[in-house]
Amino acid sequence: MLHRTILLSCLLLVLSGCWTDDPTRPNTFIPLTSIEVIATYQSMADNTVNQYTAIGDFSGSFTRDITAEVSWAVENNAIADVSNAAGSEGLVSALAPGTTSITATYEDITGSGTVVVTDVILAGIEISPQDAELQVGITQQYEATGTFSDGSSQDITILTAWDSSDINVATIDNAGLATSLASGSTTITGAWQGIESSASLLVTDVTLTAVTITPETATIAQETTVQFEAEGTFSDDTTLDITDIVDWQSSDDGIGIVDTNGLAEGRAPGQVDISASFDVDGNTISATAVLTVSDAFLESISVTPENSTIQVSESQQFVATGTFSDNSEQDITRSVTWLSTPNTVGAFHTFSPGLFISEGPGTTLIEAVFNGIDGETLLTVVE
Amino acid sequence: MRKKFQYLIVTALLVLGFSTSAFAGLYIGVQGGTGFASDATGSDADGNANFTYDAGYDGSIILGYDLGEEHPGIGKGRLELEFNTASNDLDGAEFLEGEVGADGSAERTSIMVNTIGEYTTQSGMIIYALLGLGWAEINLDNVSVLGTPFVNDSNNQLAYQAGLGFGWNLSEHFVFDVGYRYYATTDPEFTKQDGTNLDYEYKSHRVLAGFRLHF
Repeated sequence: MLHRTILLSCLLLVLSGCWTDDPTRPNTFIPLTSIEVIATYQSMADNTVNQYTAIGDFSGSFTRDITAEVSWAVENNAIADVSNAAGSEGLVSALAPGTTSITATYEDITGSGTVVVTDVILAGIEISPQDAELQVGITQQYEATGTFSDGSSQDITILTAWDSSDINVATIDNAGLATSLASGSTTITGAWQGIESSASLLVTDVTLTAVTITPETATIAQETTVQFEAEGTFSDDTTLDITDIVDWQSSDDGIGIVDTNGLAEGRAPGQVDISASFDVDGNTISATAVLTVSDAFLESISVTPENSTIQVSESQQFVATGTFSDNSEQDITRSVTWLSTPNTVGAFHTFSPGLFISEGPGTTLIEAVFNGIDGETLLTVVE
Repeated sequence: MRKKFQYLIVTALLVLGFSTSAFAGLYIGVQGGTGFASDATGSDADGNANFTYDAGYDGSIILGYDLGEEHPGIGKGRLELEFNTASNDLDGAEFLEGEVGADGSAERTSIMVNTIGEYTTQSGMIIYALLGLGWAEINLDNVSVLGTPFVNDSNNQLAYQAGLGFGWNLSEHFVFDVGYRYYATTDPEFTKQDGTNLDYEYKSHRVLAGFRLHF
């Protein structure tokens, strides 16, 4: 008995210390050699905002979004102002028509770009969605796009003053997020610079009767992810994607976790229940899916499309597929770190994994790195 | 002179080993081998990075007491005090963007109290399992990443180990031993070259061979 206890203790000790987590720390040992400043819009209308991004090139080894790490400055503050506040770093506000430069500085390295504020005037506002139909208790994000006198357009959602004609039916906050409260109809209005636009919102009195999750079962490797989606079925037999508004829970966070948008990540081998629930008049309606986290380890990564060609200013969505030790394959686009070398050709989008946005002609090496294994392909950008 | 002394020691050990009888009592031993330090996660204000090591040396000096067969209520086993030291050179450091080269070493000096349960087969081979608890000084010696000094500091932590092994009686007093130990400490905390903290971890797989002389 003593021997068995000692033997079991030995095995548990060894197994408990055989793996490490994925690194989260950026490499600060390779010197930053240049900064590229990229604007969402090449020019901006007066009084609008434009998000600028700083992409750091670290000695040609890799590029990284350092928007939140640099110090932003605009040469002529009469034309534009740039934010260094946490959460809005690099957001440029136009103050008067003109052209000035913007700089992003990290220690002794500076990158610069141009801020062009035009004197175009707002010609119209387009609100989307136009004719939304919601069930009670559901949220809807509205967006406002301003169209200007030169035909250009910009997202002005955060500049727009939002209003609901009947706040008993639905409310809407400053960011354009509407919440339905009771059945009825209301008009959502977005106004900016004296121009307004409206959209109708119908809130139906149907109630949620069931929630279903897809996929019902999923198997992933440790540290990889799978997207669960929730669909609501209502009393009038209509269905609606309610992935973003249900409450997602994992029965064991040690095996797998799930975020507020249904994205689950495997933590350790085992099986866990992923549930999506929604409260209707005090009653909870929920569904459960089964997530199995395997002990398979990653053996290789393939990146598709291979050796693709796009034109300048076009984007290319890359997909990383991992092949694991149990011969299974899994889309790990969200799990890998995307790198491009050199970065003069373009950069990966900060919030859309695998989406490469080209900026100039050339050929760049696209790499998807995960757990020390990388997959590569070439991307050629032509004029 | 030194060589003569070495011959004298070896001769004395062999004479003791082949000419006396086994019974419960004290023993001394030496063990040496290879330590395979596990990849370690280091955490600082910028996030987690993983550090990998080359295999390195690992050695012990042991003073113990063999229960023999005089304590049937407990069973066959041993209780020992182990002084050990090990060193592993750093091989690389893995960051968000990939792995780069790293230099320096992780060094360990520790004292352990081990309890060993033994079973002797009909052929005379000894099979044993070991659990140990003790104290360790972990030293990250001149660790640098891509030539940039990173940390050069030491830290004391609680240490524990578990292992399995085999022994063969070369005589009633002289035992050849090979074994495996999984060794780990509670997480050490180091001060980096820039004065900020680095939370670290230390684990090692020890493969050892050695001799015990039972008095």
